[in-house]
Amino acid sequence: MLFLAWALLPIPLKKAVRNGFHEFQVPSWEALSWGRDLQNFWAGRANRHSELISQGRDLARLNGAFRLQVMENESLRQELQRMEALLDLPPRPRYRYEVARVTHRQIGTWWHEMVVRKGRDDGITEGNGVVYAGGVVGKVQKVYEGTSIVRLVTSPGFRMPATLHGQTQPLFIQGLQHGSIGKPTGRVRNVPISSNVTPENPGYLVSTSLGQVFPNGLHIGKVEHLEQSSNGLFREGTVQFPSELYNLNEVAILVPLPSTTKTALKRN
Amino acid sequence: MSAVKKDPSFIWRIATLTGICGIFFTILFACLGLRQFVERKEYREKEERQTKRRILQPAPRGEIHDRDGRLLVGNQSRHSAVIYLEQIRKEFRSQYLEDVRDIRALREPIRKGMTHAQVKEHLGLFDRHHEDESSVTLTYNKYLKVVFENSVVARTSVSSSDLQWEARLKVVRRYLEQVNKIIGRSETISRKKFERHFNRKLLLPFTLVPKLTAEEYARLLDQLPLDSPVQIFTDSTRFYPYHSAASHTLGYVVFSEVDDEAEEIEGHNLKTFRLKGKQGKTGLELSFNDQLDGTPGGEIWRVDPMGFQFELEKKQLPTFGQSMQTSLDIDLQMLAEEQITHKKAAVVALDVKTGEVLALASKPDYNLNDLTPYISTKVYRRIESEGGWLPRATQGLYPPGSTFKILTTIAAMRQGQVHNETDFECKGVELIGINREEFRCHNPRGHLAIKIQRALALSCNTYFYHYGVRTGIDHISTEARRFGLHTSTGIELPHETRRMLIPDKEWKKVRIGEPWRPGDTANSAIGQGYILVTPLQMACFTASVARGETLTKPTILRVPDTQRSNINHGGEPIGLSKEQTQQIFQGMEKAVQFGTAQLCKIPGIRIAAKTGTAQVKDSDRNSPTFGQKLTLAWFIGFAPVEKPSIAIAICVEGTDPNDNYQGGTTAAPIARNLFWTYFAKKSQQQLTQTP
Repeated sequence: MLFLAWALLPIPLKKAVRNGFHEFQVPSWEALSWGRDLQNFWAGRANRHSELISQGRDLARLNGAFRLQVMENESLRQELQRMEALLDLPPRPRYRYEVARVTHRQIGTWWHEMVVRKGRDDGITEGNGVVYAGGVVGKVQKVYEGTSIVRLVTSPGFRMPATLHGQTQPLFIQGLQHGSIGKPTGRVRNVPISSNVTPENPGYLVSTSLGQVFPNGLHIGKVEHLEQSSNGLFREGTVQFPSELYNLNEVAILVPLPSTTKTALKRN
Repeated sequence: MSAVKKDPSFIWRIATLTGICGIFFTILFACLGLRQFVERKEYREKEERQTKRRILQPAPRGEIHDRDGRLLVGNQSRHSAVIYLEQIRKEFRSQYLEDVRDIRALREPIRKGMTHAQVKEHLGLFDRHHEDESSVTLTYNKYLKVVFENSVVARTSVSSSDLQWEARLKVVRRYLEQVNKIIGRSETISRKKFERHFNRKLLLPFTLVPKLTAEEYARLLDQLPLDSPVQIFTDSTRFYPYHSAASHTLGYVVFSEVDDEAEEIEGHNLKTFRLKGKQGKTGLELSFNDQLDGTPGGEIWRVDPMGFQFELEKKQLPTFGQSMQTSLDIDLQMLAEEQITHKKAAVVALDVKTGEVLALASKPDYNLNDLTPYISTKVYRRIESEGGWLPRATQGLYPPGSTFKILTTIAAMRQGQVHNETDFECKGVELIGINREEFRCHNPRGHLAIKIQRALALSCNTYFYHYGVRTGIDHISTEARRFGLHTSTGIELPHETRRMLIPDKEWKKVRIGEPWRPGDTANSAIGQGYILVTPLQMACFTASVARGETLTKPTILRVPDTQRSNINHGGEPIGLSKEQTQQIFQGMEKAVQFGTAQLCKIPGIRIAAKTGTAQVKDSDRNSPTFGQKLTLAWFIGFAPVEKPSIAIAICVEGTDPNDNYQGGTTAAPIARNLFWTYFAKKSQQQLTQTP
């Protein structure tokens, strides 16, 4: 009876109910997330002073190393800009990184999603790329006022262009169906026939800026074996995604900067 | 009841009725049995024809490699955005219903007897106007027709078919707009194109945007939902990494329909949709089409009454065509082409022992990548105007000029007219025939006392006029035929010319209607007159001479290492003594040391060569130099003399009467560079092979 009533409900009403249900759930997820953060805070406070001093020292060293790297990066970036200006290359897409806490995860057979604590109010739009320190996480699937749903790269309904590290020809990655237990895997297709990978010498898949969602070179996963595709034109294989994708607490959403969204396609 | 039972007529009637029913039922079951069991196959076929469709997919063609395994012709993917029409059927229907509602609303206020002004008030201006004897038809809003008779509305009508097409087109255009927005293009589709696809190829996806760039491909992958009816379709096109290199030899492909006769794919009786495949049009692509062409794949679909896909019943994947390895050395090939850029010329390099073609260059030529996936009219015309379609090495016919003197020498030696020590006095002119016709040497002062070696080295014309006439045309032409110069070489390339010409007395009598004169023999002796050969033939001739045989069968395929020592070209020994052969070789070597072929000299390598400069009348009616005399620069040669491994023939056409092309100055330097590269590469290979 309930199913029949739901089936007969007009679509706009269904949509409103679904959104309302999400918004209704959000406070509980957020509360849980804040609770976890608080738990971590108090766990941190329980550390002994000597441990904290030692960790602080390690952190200071790391910070020092990173500061140097930032300076080096800045210098390289300027050099790159100079070269691009010389060669009159079109501007590459630039992004603002909106850091967001993960409040909830839904890792099922049919979809792999996470809810993050940033939404429309923070300038997030559907289709924005989501990354973390280890590479690509996925794309923003749905945006609400203060939260967003991110579809993970491992999700069966997810597809994105990529390249093999060191190559330029675009191929694509698609998530595969699997449960929440076990390693996340996907399928890489349209790999150039000349590409060769082995378990000893795996191919690393990285993002490409051609799709205008991600910058170049972000790690996605690795492929250890390639076989010929059914049409004989390409090779394809199984991608192994990093397993920490299911345990992330914090991600960054790539919000394209306005000037780059208008970048015209450079036609070949 | 008992009375009825007892009535015998009733029982009889019942029995009769039962019998009749029994007969009818027997006939019925017999017919049913006939349909079900006897005619089962026929009805099964009919049902299949009605409800099943077959799609044939072409197989990727095999690759072509050079002798070292480098890719000369490969396949590259080509992406296009397509829409699967069966996935948007519901949208077609709902759009149609919406359009019908709109048109009904539009039609609602129009009543019989309304005037044009009243109709205009409701519908505005009309789109089209049609008038016949009794009525005027005005079309509003594309599809609403209002017929006026006696200036008032008689009836209104709407073409349901038009509305349906328009609804389908609207839906498809909506998706196209979505794709255009993602990739930044402004593609459009015409109703004609869409209708043609819908009526003829409903089962195949409809192409919205062809030839996507890598960027567009990536954008669509990123932004199109996985379950969208718009998807990316990938097929392959030929890819030529060396662009125009060996274009005439490799050839190109054109679109063709997948071979329906392929026995591997069942369902020959079904209505079949074919995706476009490729077929060799010229060169190796044509000669080895069957080998390069793979086995097509196929799908058999059960369709609904409208013809849309319903269920995939069977699928067979296409299999790759076989790859092939040519004998070409792409380094040598590219060098040969570079040397004759901006010229009309042909270069052939052969492996003396095996007859393998190392380089087969013809200029002008064309960039093979411009011809794929199809040849545009603009490109076709450009190549046509440049004269690029002609593979000069195998189809160009030229008088061989002084390079033919080698053959004259062989004929004269075999007839005992020329000996090692035969002395001749070249005074710069030779008087031939009863009329004492003057035939001049290229050196007006003459070469004075001269023997065969110097005559070859300096290319003395009078020497060969004299001994050519003494040998006679019968022997010269017989010798030329023995070397196979009268017929095509049989190389595995299509359309090799068969119009080469070795003239003799009979030929002149039949074709020109005149008797053979001694002057004709003198001309033939120096490779002028009526003789016509191809550069490939001259390369084969050179390789044959180097090997001491009469025939060389050239091949464009790499000869496996195990068979290299057992090549039989089908000829015979030339029939000269060792001394006579040495005289010819030394004469050719001296041509390089101090004679006409000096510009191909390479220290440390013994090269035997002969140059030639022939004259021809321009026979191209479209050419501005039509009827004027043009020069041809020839070179033939082989090396090293002690153990010949490479034979080269070069022919460069003069394009202007003012061109001062000569075999020694124009063709010999090209040969030098080829020899140098060949031996440099060979010594490098030997070095790397030495442990």
